[in-house]
Amino acid sequence: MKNKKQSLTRKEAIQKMGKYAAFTAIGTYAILNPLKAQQTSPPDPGGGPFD
Amino acid sequence: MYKKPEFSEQIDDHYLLWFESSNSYSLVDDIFYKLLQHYFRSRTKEEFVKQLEDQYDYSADLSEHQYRRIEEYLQQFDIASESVGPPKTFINNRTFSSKYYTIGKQSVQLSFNEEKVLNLIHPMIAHLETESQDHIKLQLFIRYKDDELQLQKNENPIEIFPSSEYHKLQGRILFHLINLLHDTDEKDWMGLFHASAVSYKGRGLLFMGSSGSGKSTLVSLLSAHGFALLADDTVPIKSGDQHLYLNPSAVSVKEAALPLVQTFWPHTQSHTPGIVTKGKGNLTYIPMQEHLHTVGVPCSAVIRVNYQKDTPTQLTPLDIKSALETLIPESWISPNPQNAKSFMDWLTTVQFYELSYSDFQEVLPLLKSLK
Repeated sequence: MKNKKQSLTRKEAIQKMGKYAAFTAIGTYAILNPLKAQQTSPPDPGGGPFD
Repeated sequence: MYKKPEFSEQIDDHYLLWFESSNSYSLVDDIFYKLLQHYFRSRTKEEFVKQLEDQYDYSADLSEHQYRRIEEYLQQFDIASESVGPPKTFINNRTFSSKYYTIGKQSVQLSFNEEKVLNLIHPMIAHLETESQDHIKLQLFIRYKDDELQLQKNENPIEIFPSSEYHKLQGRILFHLINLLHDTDEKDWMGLFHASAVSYKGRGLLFMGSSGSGKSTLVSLLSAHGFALLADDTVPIKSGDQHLYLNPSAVSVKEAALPLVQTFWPHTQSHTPGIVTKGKGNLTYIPMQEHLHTVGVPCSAVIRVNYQKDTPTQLTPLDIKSALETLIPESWISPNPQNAKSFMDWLTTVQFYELSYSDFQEVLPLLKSLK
């Protein structure tokens, strides 16, 4: 029974909770910016060949 | 009122949005997506607030808070396009030394003013060095001067990189070599992923993960066990066919992983020492491609690698949010709208996994059986 509860998706949970959920849940987002130019793995700071 | 995202795509229970002005992606949940739709449908703040009050029983306070939140969110994408490029200057290369390489059917001349500069690039492509100076298709001039690395391709104006950002010079040169090998230019590519890739029976597997996650070690071992290496560290993916293509660079193996990798790649005459860096120690470059194939392969799985001593071997589905948070910020993804759309479409066609492992032999059958 416990497992079943955990497998509810967030969407299903929100639907079940109806308007109450809409009132409290404010929506989430993430912003992902790709690199501006091609590059190889960045070096760790300091100790590079030009330092 | 701010501009709408150019593209949006539903992926699992999220929506992925793309904003052209800043070339940004945003992954939002269904509630935030609905709020955005209300925002773009409303002509005024009052209209937006009223919609939320009527449809969701939001209080006026919460509705206004959401309005401000959305405006703050959208403001971040409202960036004017970058100013014009660097001034058109050219490198005086009369005193430079040169080395020559064969990339596929083409020849490259790499000219440099200091040995230090050569050491940034040569180890990656030492296996492609040639004596021949005929039919040079690509000339690259690199100069180190006043803490700057300057790069000039053929007769084009120079590009400048601070010397502490030498990985950007390496990436740029590698991209020129990839374009030479595949007879392409920048607009043909959807992206250059910070990842490693192999192919097996015509299917591509892409491995991503932070520095030290064991991507290079894993592809080194796979390449010695029936998988064909496509790319280490940077993986080109084409926009048109959305296939993964070969990167001609040798695999960079960190000092700590070298003893293990060397047991499968023992021919040390093909190993080239690279630069010494803090954190990664001595790098050794080992060429592992059998041939420089120019045929792409479709990518069937994107796998986040997590090597940890004594951890049981597990290949589990990875949620889209974790997958994109790993992939996008570390990769170059073309700002061209057509290519950005291609990237979003491609995301809906691949499976994402997480691979935790300590015993490589247990990984082989799992990856071979991936559909």
